[in-house]
Amino acid sequence: MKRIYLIDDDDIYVFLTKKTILKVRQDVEVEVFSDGLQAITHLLKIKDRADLLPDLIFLDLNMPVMDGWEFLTEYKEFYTALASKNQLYIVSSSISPYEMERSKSISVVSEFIIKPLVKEKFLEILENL
Amino acid sequence: MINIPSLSNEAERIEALYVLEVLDTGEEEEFDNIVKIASILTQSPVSAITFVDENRIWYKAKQGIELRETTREHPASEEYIFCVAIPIRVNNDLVIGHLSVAGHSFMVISDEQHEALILLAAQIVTLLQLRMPVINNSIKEFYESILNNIPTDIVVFDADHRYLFANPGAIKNEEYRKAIIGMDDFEYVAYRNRDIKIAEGRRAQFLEVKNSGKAIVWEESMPDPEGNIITFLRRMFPMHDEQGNFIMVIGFGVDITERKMLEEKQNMIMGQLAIQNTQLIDFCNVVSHNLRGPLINMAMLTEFIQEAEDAEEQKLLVSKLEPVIENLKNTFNELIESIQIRQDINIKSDKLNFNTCLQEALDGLFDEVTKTSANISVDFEEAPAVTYPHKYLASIFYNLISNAIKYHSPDRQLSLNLASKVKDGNIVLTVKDNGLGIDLLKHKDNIFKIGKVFHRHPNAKGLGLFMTKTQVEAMGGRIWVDSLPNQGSTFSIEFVNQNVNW
Repeated sequence: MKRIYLIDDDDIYVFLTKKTILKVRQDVEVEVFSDGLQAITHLLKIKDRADLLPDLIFLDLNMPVMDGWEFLTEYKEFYTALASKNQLYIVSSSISPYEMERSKSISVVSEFIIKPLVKEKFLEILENL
Repeated sequence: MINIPSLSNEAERIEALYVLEVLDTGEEEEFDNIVKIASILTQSPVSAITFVDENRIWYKAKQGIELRETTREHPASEEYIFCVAIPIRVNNDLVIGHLSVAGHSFMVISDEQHEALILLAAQIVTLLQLRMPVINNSIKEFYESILNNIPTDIVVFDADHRYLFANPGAIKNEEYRKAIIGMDDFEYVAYRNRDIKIAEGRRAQFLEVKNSGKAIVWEESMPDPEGNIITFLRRMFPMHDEQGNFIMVIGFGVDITERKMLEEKQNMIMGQLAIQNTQLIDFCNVVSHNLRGPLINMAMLTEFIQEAEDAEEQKLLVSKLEPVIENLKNTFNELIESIQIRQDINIKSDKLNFNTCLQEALDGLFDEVTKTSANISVDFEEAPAVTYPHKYLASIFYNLISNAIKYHSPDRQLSLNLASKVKDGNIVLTVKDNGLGIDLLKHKDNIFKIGKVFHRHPNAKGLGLFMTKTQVEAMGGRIWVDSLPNQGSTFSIEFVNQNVNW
């Protein structure tokens, strides 16, 4: 069973992505956070619990309260202390070259994916886990 | 006496001689060489360059004769059997002296030799003129005319900070310019009824130059008599005598107002470009997030609808399309509007009553206001009206009030306070709430940017404040916010170019 976090404030996009994921793999569990702060708060709570920590994080950038970049700044601080490691992908509707370049300088980011997240890409990511 | 021409126009002749300032000067090689050449040329044992003063004949250079001067009645030429004197002429016809060759035995001068002597005499005039900076003007007048006409102000202080000199660039009025000589700055400000601070500043600069022995340079802005701000680049430097004693300070000032204005204009344009660039980036972001986002959702929904296995699922998916389209439409319209604001430079302004306009906004937000049971207080007494485009003021009220309602605190009743005040000739409108507030430390750069939202709210799209800012700035005003998280926010809007003396 793989645990996947979706951090995104767009309800419809979350609904559709969940649908896409569950269509190709049934052995996954998707948890949704509608902004960076909710996700950070939860991760801090379970950072010692390898059984609860996610295997995969899909992070949106443009969100209220705490956006994706702010999330990454805080997340980097305690990443090494996590009981189990995961892979993090930025999934954004942004096509700004500046934001893509910026994501490359952050070590915990595996890749910058431009929305939408398609079936083929999702399967490829799962295989690399 | 042979060949000595008569000297006419005595007064003018003497004046022309004195201007050359050659009388009673020392020996000079150039003049000595001329008499040597004259002697060699004519095979004469004696030759001289003499100038005829009022009462004497004075020798500038000589060969084969030892004399400094003679009387005009008894010239040395009387002693010789043979003597040829070529007149030295200035200003066409004024004879000021002679180039003479002489001997104790009779000699013959050929025409060629005579012509050569005339050329040598002309050469003497050229030599004399070369030594002078300006003909027919004293050196003092020459330098003063430069100092007085130079487009720079120049002053000279003695070692005690008293004025030795000021040119018309420094003090235009002749009376003041004469009066200042011998005064120090404290006496001069008293004389002109000026602020003593000017003198104190000058004294500090003088002492700095005097004590450090080094030049100082600074820029200085002040209003001219017409009230325009003029900027000078000033430089003060110390002068020392040969023994190294401090003797005076020279001060220069160049008017760099024009350069300064160009610099400021350039900075302003750079600032505008930077703002426009930021807005363009913001615009790209909002297009990619707020427009591209819904488009992706629509594409995905359509794909799922096509693949849907039963009618029930299809219906569910279609129902999800509607809000996406609605969202896209709103964002699109607001983007178009914000572009129009920036193009609509000549929008018409009317005199608007704050109370009337506020009521319009409250009518539009009737449901929201009632639902939150907001407590609204108003104080438009100091500035009851403003000259502004109606559309913009309506939108400013609507956006700020709907924001306050949207982000009110769930822990307390929303209290909203609106006021207008006159400040430095402008009108400032404040909208104060006791809502959730914004963490300005974290968000101060983002607060008025497009597409930024700070709270979890279904209708937060982040366009309202951007629009308000665009409208305010399009009219030359400013908008700013003071806020503390969970205590509330105060938005202030400045309306400029208001004739507040109604």
